[in-house]
Amino acid sequence: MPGRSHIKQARVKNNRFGSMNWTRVSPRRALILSGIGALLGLVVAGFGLFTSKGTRTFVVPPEDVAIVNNVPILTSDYDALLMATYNVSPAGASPEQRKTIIDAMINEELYVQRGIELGMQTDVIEVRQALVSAVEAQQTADIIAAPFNDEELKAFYQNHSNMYATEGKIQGRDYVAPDVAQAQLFLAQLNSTGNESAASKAAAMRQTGLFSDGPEFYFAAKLHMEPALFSVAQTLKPGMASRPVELSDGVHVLVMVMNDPPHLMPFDTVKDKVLRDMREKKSQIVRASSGAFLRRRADIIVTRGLE
Amino acid sequence: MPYRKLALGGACVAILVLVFSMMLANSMYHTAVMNQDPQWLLTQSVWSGHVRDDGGSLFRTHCASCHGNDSRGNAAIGAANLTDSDYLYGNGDVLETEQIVLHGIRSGNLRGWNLASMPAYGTEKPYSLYAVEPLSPGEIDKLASYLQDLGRLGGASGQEPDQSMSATLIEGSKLYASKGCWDCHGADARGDTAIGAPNLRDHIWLYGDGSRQSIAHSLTFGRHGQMPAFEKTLSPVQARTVAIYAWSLSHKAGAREK
Repeated sequence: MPGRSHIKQARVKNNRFGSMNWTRVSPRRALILSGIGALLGLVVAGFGLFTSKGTRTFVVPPEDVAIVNNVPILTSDYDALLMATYNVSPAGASPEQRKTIIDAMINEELYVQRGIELGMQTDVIEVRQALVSAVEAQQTADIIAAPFNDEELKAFYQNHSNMYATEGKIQGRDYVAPDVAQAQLFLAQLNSTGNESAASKAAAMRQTGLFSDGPEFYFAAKLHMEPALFSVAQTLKPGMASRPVELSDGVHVLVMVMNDPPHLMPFDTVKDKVLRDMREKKSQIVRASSGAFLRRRADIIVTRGLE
Repeated sequence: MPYRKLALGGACVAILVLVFSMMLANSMYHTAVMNQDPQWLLTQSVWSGHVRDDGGSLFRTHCASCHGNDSRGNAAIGAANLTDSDYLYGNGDVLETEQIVLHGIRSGNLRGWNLASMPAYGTEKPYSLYAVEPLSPGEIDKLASYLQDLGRLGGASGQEPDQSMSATLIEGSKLYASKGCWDCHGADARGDTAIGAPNLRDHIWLYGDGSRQSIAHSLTFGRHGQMPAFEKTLSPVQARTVAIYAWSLSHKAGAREK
């Protein structure tokens, strides 16, 4: 039979292992070899477990320049610091420069680790503030880095259109009279002649100088005008004159020159603001839910009266 | 029968060798990317193809939504054109680009560029960090006219307005000097790459199209462009690769000069 002839040919004779036949299935041999493998594994695991340095990387990966107590110092940080300190590229730096930078970074890492050991994240205000800022940034980094599309932006723009209105602009000529009668005379003259200058002379109206520098944004006009006058001014179209408005310094009549109320800006014009606002809104949601999650999993006890 | 076992064993060995070779090649590639001069890498045919392919793929996944598939930016959101040689921050070096990729611009990352943004001079509180006076619509119009024509107002930096200019432009130049624009953009309006203030004389517009209307919009509503920090999204090798790729976009033949 071909099989038996093959086995005979493969038999090892008079070798240093005696008459061991490797082609023959031997449960005892399999058991011994498995046992040896298991024992070796236990020895390696025990060595790693019970030695003082624990699991240790012996090779620095290419993205790091050093590893300090298993904390990597990144190549990108090293390169940036080298450039910032000596204005040289990593390839152009001298050995002394490279050593100075790497030593400084190792010292910094050791001090940071020591600071954590000493609990400075609890005691030092600046460290705490920096940690809070860093965690907040971490929470929202994915949101800011996420790709977006125009449909998403347009939907946000339409749902928050009140955020994308122009600031209204307004300009007029403000006249003041000592009493209502003169103000009404001015209006009558204006309506009949259409000549504002003649009407103001006839009624002895005085210009207050409001809007003398040209148009103003609504927010500025609100600051420069009494509320009663501003609310009337908002309703006037260009060329219209207001009714007499009694204020503390006299009776005012406003002749409108230009009134451009706030209006919604086109999407394409405010796309950058929509993107930023959408990211900020999502970030707020993430921060709130992260805060809630941290509270849920924390064990917090508050003194009586401050719950 | 022995031939079948031999073939099987050979195939296993071949697969192991292939896997090991790929791992070794990958490790060598990572080492080259992180430890070699980035600009030298692109001259080496062995690595440049990998860098461009990997970098291009990363760019399309993470960057193209803002900077465009053609890398020419998006003036609607202030995403910079990466194919020209105009740099807002630094001088466009690979390591500087890498830092921007990792830590972002106004991203909230403490190591990112968070120095300043363009105030909204047409609002009640133009700037949140400190008090800045708003401008009137007329002042904004004059300033916009001045900025639109800035490139034509003589080549010498810091040139004073002269009698050949219109009254509007003279007013605009006075506003530029008196309203704090020079604080960021420089007395000569050539910007400051140390803080990301654009050069206003070069006709390269981060936002809009350089029309008076779009300049007036920037002055009125401010600009607060944002570049994400990819520190936690990309590995260090990926960040370096995409930075090299971005650098290569502005350093190939035919790139638009400043």
